[in-house]
Amino acid sequence: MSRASNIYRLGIKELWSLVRDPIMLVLIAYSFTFQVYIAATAMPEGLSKVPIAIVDEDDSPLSARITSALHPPQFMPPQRVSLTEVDAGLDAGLYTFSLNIPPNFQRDVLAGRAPAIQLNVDATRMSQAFTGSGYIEQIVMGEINEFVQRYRGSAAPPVDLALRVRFNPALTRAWFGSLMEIINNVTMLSIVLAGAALIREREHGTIEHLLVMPVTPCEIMLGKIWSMGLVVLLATSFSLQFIVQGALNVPIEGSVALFLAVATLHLFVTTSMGIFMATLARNMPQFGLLIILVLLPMQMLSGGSTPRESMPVLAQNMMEVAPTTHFVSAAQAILYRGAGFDVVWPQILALTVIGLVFFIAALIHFRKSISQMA
Amino acid sequence: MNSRRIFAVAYKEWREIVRDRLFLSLAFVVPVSLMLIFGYGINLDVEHIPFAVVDHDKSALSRDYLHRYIDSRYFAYQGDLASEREIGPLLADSRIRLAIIIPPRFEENLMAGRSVAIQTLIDGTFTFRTSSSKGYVIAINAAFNSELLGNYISQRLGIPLETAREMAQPVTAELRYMYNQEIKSVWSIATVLMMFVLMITPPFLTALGVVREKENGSIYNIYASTVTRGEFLIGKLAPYVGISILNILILWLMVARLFGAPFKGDPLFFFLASVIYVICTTGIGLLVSLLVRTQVAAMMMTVVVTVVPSVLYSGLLVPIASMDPAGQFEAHLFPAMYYTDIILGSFLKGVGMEQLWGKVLALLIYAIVLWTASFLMFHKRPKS
Repeated sequence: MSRASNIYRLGIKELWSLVRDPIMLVLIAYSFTFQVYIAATAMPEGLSKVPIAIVDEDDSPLSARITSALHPPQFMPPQRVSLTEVDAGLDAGLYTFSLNIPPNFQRDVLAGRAPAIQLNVDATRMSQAFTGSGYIEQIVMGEINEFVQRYRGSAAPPVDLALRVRFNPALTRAWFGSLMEIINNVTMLSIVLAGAALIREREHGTIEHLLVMPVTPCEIMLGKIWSMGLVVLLATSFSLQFIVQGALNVPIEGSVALFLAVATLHLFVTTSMGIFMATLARNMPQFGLLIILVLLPMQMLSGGSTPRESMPVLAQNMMEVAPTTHFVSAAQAILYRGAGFDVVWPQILALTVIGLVFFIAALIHFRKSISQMA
Repeated sequence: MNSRRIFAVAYKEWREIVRDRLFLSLAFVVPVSLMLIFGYGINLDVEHIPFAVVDHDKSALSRDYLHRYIDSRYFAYQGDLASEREIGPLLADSRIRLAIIIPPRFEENLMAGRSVAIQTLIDGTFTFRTSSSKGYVIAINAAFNSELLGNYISQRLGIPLETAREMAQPVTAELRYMYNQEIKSVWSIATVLMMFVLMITPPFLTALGVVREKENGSIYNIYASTVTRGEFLIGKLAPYVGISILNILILWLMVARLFGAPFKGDPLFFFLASVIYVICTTGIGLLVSLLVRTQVAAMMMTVVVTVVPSVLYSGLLVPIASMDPAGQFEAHLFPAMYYTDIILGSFLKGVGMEQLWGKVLALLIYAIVLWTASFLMFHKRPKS
C-alpha cells in the first residue's frame, strides 16, 4: 500500500515541477494544437498549383487547347515563354515544368506524322516532378486524342478504368498529416519529459534527497512514468477531440478508446526509453543530442511519413525493435480503417515486450548509477 | 568589444566542450548518423507497390493485361485472389496497396469491340504515393488501350500494324529530366538533407549551452564579471559555430562522395553561404535560449521551431510556389527555404552568385536580425 502511495506522491511532485515551468506548458499546448493544425493544412493535397511554362511555337487551335487544359487548381496559369528563356527560368526555379510544342504541331498530328512534344522537368523538385510529369502527359495526350477523334471520328477507349481510393477517398492530406503529427508529438514529448525529469534531479542534486528517503529506485521511476505519461495522454485526447475531429473535421473510423489504450502502452515504452537514455547521459546537453539521434530516425522511419515497404530491408528490420513502428501501424489501422483488438493485437504484444525490455534495462542502469553516486 | 575577453570566454566554453567527451563526439556523430540514416532510409521513389489481382476472366488477354503490371518495376505482384471479399483485409493490413479486378468475359467483350470497365482499389493512406500509383495505373492502361486500338484499326482497315499503331498514338512525348537526368532521387534527398541536418543540430548545441548556465546558476559568474554582453555572446557561440562549420565540410563530403551527387557550382561561394546559414541557425538556438528558463523547455522549443519548418516550409516535400499564400508567407520567415535553393543550385543546377545572391542576402539579413535581437534581449542584470 505504501508503495503505491509513494509512487503517487512522487508523480505529483513531477506534475508540480512541470506546472512551475510555464513556457514548457505553452510549448506542450502549442504542439498539440497549432502544430497539429499546421501540419494538417500546410501541405497542399496531391498536385496543386504546379508552376508550369509553355513554349508554344505552333500557335494553333490544338496548342491553345493544350494550354487551356493546364488550369488551376492543379496548375498555376501557364506562363508563355520563348525557347531561349526556358533554361534560365528553370535555373531560377520559376517553374517546375516547361512544355515545348514544336512548330507545325497540329498539321503533323493530323497528318499522322506523330510529332514529338517535349516536357522539361526540374528533377530537383522530387515529389512534384515525378507525380506531375505523368499527370501532365495524361492531360496532354487526352486533349490530343480528343482533338484527333473529333476530327477523324474513331472509337472510344476499349478498357475503361474505374479507380477507387479506399480509406481516404478524397485524398485529403489533413487526415494523414494531423494524426501523424499527434503520434510524433506523443513519442517526442514523453521521451523528453521523462528523461529530462531524471536528468534535472541529477544536475540540481535533488536526487540526493530522494536517496535518503525511504523510496526505491523502482518507485522513483514509476512516479516519473505515470505522471509524464498522463500529461501526454491528456494532451493527446484533447487534440484528437477538439483539433482533429473538431477544427479539422477529420472522420475517425475506429474506436478512440482503443487508440488511447494503445497510446498508453506506447507511453509506457517511450517514457521508459526516456529514462533509459537519461541514465546513459550525464547532463542535459548530452541527453539532448542522444534524443535527436534516436528520436528523429524513429519518427521518420516508422512508416508514418513514407511506407515501410519502400525502405531498405536493413532499415525495415532495424525498425522492428522501435516502438514507433508498431504504434504507427496500430494507430493507422485503428484510426483510418476502424480495426479492432483482433487486428492490432500483434502490435500490442510487440509494444509490451519492447516496453518491458526498456523498463528493466532502465531500472538496472538507474540502480547502478545511483549506487555509484552514493 | 575586447578581443582578449571574447577569446577568454570562447576558450572557457571550448574547454568545457572538450572535457565532455560524450558531448563532443555526439556533436559530430549526430549529424553524420542523421545523414546516413535518412539518406539511405528515406525513399521517395514510388516503386514496388504491392498489389493483388482478382481475375474473373482468366483468359489470354486478361493475363496479358495483368502482366503489364506484374512485369513493371513500379508494382510488386503479391498473388491472385479468388474473390473481392479477400481484398478488404489485405488492404487494411497494408499487405497490398492496390487491387485490380478484371470482370468476367473481359476478352470476349473486348474482341467484340465492346468497352470493358476494370475496377481498381488503391490505398489512400499516403496521399502523395496514391497519386503516383494512380498515374502509373492510368499510364499502363492507356498503353494497353492504344495497342488494342492499333490492332483493331489494322484489322478493320487492313493496314500494317505499324501505321495503325501510329494512328492510335498521334503524338510521342519526350520527357527530359533536368539537373538529374538519371532521376536518382538520392541526389536530391541527400542535398536537401544537408539543409535539414544543419538546421537542427546547431540550434540544439547552442540553446542547451546557454540555458545550462542559466539553469545551473553559473551565469552569475558572467553577470558579475567585466565581460560585456556582446563579448559573452560572441565568445560563447564561437566554439559551436566552429563545430558546425566542420560539420558543413563533413556533410558536404558525404553528399558528394558517399551519395555521389555532382557538385557543379562554385565551392567557395557555397562554403561561404553555408557558413552564413550556420550562423543563422546558431542564432535561432541563441534566441531560444534567451526566451526559456529550463533546458527541457529549450529542447522542446528548438524542436518546435526547427524540425517542423524545415520539413514543411523548405521546399523539401512541396515546392514553395505551390503552397497557399499563408504557407508561402511562413516559408519566407524561415531560413531553410533560401538555403535549400542555394544547395540545389550549387550541387545539381550549377548556378552561382549571379542567380543566388538574393538568397544569400536574405540569410545574411536573417542572421543579423537574430543576433541583434538576442543581443538586445540578453541582460546582465536580469529582472527579478
